[in-house]
Amino acid sequence: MTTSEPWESIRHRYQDAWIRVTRITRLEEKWLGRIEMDAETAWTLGTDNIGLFVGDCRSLGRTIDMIRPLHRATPRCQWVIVAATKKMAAVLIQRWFREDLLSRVATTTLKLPQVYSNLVLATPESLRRIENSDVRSLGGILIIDMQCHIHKARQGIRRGRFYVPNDRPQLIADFRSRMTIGEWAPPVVFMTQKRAKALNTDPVRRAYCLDGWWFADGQSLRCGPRRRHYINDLVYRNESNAGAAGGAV
Amino acid sequence: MPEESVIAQVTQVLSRRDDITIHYDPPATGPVPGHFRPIEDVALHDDLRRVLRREIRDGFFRHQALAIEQILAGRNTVVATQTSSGKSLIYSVPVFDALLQEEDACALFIYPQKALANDQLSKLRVMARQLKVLSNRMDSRPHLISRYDGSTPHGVRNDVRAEVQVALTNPDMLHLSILQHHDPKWARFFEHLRYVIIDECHEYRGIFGTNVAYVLRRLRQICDIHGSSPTFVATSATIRDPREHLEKLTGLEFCEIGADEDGSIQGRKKFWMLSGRDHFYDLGRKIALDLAKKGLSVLAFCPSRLAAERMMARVLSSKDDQLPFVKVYRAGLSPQEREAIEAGLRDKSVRLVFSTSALELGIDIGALDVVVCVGFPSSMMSLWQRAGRVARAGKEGGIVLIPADTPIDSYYAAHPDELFGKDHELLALNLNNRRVVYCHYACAVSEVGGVDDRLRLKILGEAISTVAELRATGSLNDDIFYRSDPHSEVNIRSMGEGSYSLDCGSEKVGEIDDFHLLREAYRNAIYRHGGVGYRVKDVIKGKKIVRLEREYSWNETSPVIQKRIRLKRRNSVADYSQLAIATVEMDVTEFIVTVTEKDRSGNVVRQWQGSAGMPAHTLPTVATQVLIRKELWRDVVLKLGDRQARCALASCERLLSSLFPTVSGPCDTQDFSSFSEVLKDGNAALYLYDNVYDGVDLTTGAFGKVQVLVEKALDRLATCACSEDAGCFRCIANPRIDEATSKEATAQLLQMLRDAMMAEPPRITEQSENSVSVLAPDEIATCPTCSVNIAKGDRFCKNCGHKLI
Repeated sequence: MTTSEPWESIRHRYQDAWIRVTRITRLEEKWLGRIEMDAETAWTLGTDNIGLFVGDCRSLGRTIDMIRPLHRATPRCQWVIVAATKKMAAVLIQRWFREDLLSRVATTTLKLPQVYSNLVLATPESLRRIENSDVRSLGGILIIDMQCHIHKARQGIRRGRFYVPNDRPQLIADFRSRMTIGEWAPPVVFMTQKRAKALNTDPVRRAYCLDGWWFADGQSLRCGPRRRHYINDLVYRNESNAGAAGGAV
Repeated sequence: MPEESVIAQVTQVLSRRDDITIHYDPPATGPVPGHFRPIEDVALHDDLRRVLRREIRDGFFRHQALAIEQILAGRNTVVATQTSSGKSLIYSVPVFDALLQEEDACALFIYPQKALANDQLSKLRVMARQLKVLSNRMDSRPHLISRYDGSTPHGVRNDVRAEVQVALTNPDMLHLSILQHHDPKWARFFEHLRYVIIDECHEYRGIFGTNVAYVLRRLRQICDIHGSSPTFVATSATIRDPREHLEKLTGLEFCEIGADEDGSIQGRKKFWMLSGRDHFYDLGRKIALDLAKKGLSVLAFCPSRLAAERMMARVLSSKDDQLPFVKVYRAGLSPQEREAIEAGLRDKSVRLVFSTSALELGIDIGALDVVVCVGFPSSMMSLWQRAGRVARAGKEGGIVLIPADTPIDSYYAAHPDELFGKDHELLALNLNNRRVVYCHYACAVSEVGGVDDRLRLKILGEAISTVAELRATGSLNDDIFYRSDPHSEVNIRSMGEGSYSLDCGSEKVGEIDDFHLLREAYRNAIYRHGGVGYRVKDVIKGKKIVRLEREYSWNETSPVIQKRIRLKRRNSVADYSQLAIATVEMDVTEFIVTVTEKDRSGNVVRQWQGSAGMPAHTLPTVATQVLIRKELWRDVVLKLGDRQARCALASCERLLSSLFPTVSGPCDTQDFSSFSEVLKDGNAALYLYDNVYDGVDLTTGAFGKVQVLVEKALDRLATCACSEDAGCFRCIANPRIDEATSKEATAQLLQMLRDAMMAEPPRITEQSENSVSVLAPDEIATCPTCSVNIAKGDRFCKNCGHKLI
């Protein structure tokens, strides 16, 4: 495969940018400007093997509200939503994909992965059941891990003996490697309630086999189609914020 | 019927094969008669003289007598005579003489390998038993002559320390244990230390040699503290400029007993250099087996452990029954297995041994008949050491050299006279290696009670004095100076950021250094250790831990590693109008870009992009840079096209790097590496760099020899037997990666480089550097986006994600 083939494929998937967020430094002393998840950004993240760490997301309900428009995104760009637990997956179904449901979704009978238009909902364990044919135009992997726990579920000592029960971040890394096109791997967007500066983000990065993080402010996350006046508004706000923060780059 | 000579038998075996081409078949040399001097000429203790008269009836060889006289007179002496010239006796005699004359006298024998110490120990004990006084002393103190190294059981170490007068050790143990605990554990020993013996002193080169140079200076400091001033004796059969090397190694003046004084007996010896239609492994194996079947004792030197095992496996698989006279000798065997093979070679029950370089040095394996070198050894020193395994004690011997399928071996196969006309390599030592100096400064301070002012700076040398000055001004505050146990931070065989521990649960599987971590134990790799498979689950840089999990699949993983160069400083520059050649200091950062897992059939099972969270490895080093200016590079691109030009640059780099040992040395392929790139400003560059932290000035030796190197590369291309433009492994094909190559394009680029160099004489500028600037700490780099400090080797800023490399 020549290098232009993956790029064309990515450009085809990202004809519109549906995720926008403000980039910050980990220690939050600087705002680095607004970024859009367009083809170029996805290409940079995918080829440089960088993840987007969206910290300070308020709650699961609020996060769902923020990313809800992704459901309506063009079918050319598919997203795999990885819920930290099956229970969270049930909440996601109930409050996002099947708002028409009157009863609660039972985790005991919940079968994952589930496909909802351009989104595939899964837990790390059910990622291996996603066929390559199900996600022919994968745009990225969105991990919702409010408590930032997944990366810890790797190995441990039980009754004095070492064991590897279920290496959860590795399952995500393996799925990502399966979806690789040439030198591009689908970007990882990691959403958590914790602020980056409150965490040691290096083990998280390592666990997901990433080379670096771009940090983003969860409260500035917006999903949906690009609107001209909205962008202008954002640019204005960004500039005024940058001035207040002592100059953005 | 008279017994057929060894040389005749080898000739017969070779002449029977019609599939071989003999490249070099010089007439046999020798035998050389010995020149003797009576034992009475040397003033020795009567008991010792009596024993020697019995053991060596003809007397001392001329060089032995001369050397012993010098040593007894208290002069530091280096003996550089041929293999099998009785060097062990030279240092044993003065030591035994001192033990007889002085009841408390002590001696320290330093060997580069444990196996050598083991071999010498038994000889020394046998000789001591023949001396009545010492024999009695040994009855009451069984550890009078003893080894003290990693294999010495902890239970007997106290007894050894209390009793030993002749201690055999290695530099690692000297550094880690003996010097560190000199007071009070070794106080008696150092107080009465009369002789320090450094056997196989040519082994102390490169980063190992540089470390040993400081270990020996620290040893001298300890002796000074305890009031002794021992005489140093060094020996080697294959060393160039021995006096100069030893003076650099120890910081003392030496007198030399060299080849001119050599009076030893040498047997008749003959070389053959040949290649065949078979793969060189197969050819070597078949010839070695044929010779062994004729009843000759054969030692086949293989390029690696894996090669030795594979050749042995092939020999066994081609036969229904086992061949008891064939063995493998390599690192990793138990001492019992080794000793059984050594004894088998001596009593001829073992006649063919496939060995790595482990049997190269002076282990006593008796007089062999033939040495088969499968692939040329990596240095001239190795070649002559290997050749020295035969024709000992006046016997006949043959050496069969089989070139490997590499550019360097093919070059020497086409120019054998150049190979045999070469002198031993110059031994590189860089006493200004910043990392080494820092570490040994910290160790030296710890050994004098943790007070900098107590250091014997005159003994420790100029570089340590400079560090002391910098420390006094408060400008040096590296971690190493504040460690409670700096000795354990220093690995004197290689110098890196410290080793990673390979942990599978609570079990420690082994250790691995930074360099090999990226190549063998990267994240998601299947790592094999002693035949057991593990999957690398995590690499934790901060804790220096690699977490493993048992893996049961037969898949194999391989990484693709990329390099980035950051130039720090140019020292000497030879400036041509279209070209510049310079010695430079730079950082080479290596990182993984892809990890591929394949099954046994070679099908790709999985592929991970990026370095998978692995830390990059940064090597600060020195290099010779060939900078092709953009005007010339533009001409190259116009002539060849961009793609071909880049391919030619990569091939050129590989060829120059492979042939580098023909102009400089030592040439272990592990010691140096190369890189080429087209820079953003339109220039292109080739680098030959030392594969050692802060360098040992090995590749900077290529500075004045680039033109010669280019000529040799052109010659290799012209004389290579392959007919296709893509070339073969003997010229430009890359054995590691399947990539496009072109002999024609490479030759054109090389010609353009040569023309550019021949068009005009270069303007040479030298930037003088003092030791302060070399040893001063690096400036701390900061991220251009968020200004936080960046750790060395980080590819992305940890605060803002800015791409740094």
